Amino acid sequence: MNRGSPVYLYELAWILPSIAIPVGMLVALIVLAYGGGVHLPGDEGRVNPTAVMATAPFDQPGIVEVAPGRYEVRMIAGIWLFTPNEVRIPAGSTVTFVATSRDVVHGLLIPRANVNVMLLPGQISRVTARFEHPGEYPFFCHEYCGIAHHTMWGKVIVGPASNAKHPDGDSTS
Amino acid sequence: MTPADAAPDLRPEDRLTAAYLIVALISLFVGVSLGFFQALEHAGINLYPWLLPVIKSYYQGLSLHGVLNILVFTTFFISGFLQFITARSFGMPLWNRGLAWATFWLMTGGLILTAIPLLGNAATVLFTFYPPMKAHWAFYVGLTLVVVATWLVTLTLVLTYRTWRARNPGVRTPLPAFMSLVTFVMWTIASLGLAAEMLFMMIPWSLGMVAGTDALLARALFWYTGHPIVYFWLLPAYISWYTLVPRQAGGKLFSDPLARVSFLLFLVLSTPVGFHHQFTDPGISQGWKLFHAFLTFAVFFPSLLTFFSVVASLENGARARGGKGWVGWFGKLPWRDPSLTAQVLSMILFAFGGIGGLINASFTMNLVVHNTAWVVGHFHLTVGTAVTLTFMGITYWLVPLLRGRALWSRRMALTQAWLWFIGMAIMSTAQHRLGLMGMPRRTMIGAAPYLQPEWQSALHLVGIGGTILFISAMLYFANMLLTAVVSREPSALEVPFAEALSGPEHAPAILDRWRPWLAFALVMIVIAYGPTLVRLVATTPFDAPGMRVW
Repeated sequence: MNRGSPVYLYELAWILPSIAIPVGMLVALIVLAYGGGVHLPGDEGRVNPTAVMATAPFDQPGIVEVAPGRYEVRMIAGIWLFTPNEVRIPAGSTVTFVATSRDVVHGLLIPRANVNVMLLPGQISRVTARFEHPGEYPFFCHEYCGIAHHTMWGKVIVGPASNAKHPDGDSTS
Repeated sequence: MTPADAAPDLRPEDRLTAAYLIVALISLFVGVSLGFFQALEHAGINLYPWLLPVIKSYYQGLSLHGVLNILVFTTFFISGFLQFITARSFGMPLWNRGLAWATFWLMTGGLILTAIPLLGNAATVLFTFYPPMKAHWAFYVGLTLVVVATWLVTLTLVLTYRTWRARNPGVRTPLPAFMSLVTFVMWTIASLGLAAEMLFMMIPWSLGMVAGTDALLARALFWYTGHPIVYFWLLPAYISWYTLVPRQAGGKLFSDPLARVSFLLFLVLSTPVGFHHQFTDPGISQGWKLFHAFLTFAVFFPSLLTFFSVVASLENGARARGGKGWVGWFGKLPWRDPSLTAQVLSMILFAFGGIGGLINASFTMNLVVHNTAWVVGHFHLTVGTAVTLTFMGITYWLVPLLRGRALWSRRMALTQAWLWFIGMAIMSTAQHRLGLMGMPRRTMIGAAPYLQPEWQSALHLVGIGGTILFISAMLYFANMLLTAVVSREPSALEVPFAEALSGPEHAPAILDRWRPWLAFALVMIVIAYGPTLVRLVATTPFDAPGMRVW
């Protein structure tokens, strides 16, 4: 190249920040992901999609309290409904969704809880979210899954914070 | 040189390009018309009952919209345009016109085979056709034939290049031809994932030769191609911005070597980034996702180079026309030229598309926007405007040149470009907002029982923006048709190739070699994809049966 020419200098003045900016953003991203503890779904193992309903933990879909204030939702997506499609928990709960699909590709989007995961037949998805405030958190299937895709949804209903010793009674109230 | 070498007759190449453009524009016409119905549906006006019995559902229309606009329109346009650019740039006919025409007919045959099940509601699987949703086999075979035809276009370009190279040893490849070649070579490498998905999974499975398939492996192979395909769409627009637009703006390309650097970086970095479409997929480890995020940021770099070069070239042109000031020169661009106006407007919206793309690629922020309407807003700025409006702008000089007749109406073309810009700005902004509010994409949202009240105002803007876009598109097609059929005034016959301030003589020889860059590209792919693909191929049981869900 023609060093010292105006073209070369202009190029340099642009190229260096063009390298610095993406590198800076990448560092911010890594800090956020690992420092802030934001996790993406990873490899959680397989499940035979034709035998989902006979395979633990999906043979008993529903909500289980695994520790005080910590719940696990075992969820099956299928055309065109989530099982369960209504989840009741007290405010302040941490919920891990363990989910899969028994037919085509689905997704689970809970906008107000920052849950966003694909549900693929054959794969187990696991995501954790915290529900601080009482209210209704609708969730949607966000991957096209057939003619009634737009009817596939459900709700997390967060009740008042439970200070009782037996919070499991809350899930059926 | 004999006189025949000096001025070869390239009219046969013109006819080939015209044939590709005709198919491309018919596909775009059907594709954008269906988009209008989608936008109205979002605004609460369901006109799908009117489309019966031709279009049976929102999702059949959406499948046609996606396949025709981004797979068919783009591929045919690019194949026609870049073979034209290559022949003109070398000043030489294509290697073998028989092969070139056979390629066109193979691609068209593939399109027809794809279109039959799509129109027959036997392939309502959207353009991503994720299994185990199962379409008619003709859909997969047809699309595969289109891909094979693109490989034959690559063959034609490579053999044309070799013929030229044999006659011109030691000379730098002309920039437009070089870029066209990079585009098709990049695409050929990138299309291997889709080809593998089709040949080893979808086709045998749809024909009943194997019983099962697998969602994750299919998605991994699809997105191996599915991200670089956006560069396959974008690079031809960049070719216009680098090698034609500077001249149309009345100036020169800022730097020929910088343009070559950016294209070679696209060759190397376009493909090993596909996992950023699968950040929310189970079954792929976080580490590899982060690695793809890292490379996605790296591929932002050649786009920044392009931004600089193109804006500097525009400024060079505007200042030559008397433009002054830091920003004021922008007004001195030849805004009465619809071809330039369309392309500059598309660049403006593309800047926002690029910023949005970085957010999508950002590993963690992707959790907020993945599969929401945000993504739809994003790619309507990139492929829906940067690519489509640029291609429209190109046809404002290319179609008159091919036809030998002047553009029917310059004012109509200017109006069209501005309407597209305004309509897209409205629609895309609304879609971005809807995505942030958690509205899922590719959903018949007007019929969804969970439609949230706070989405309503933005949904109406989608309807308004979509209507403006539809009017723009109809002005475009009318102008093209009238140019081809009614216009009588003769047109200019010269391709507006630009000169460069810093020309090809400043390009180091390494920028005109192929083997090191190809090797670099393949190594990157092996590193980024090798471990995950080997694991998936080795461990996947293919136990998902197919089903029709529409």
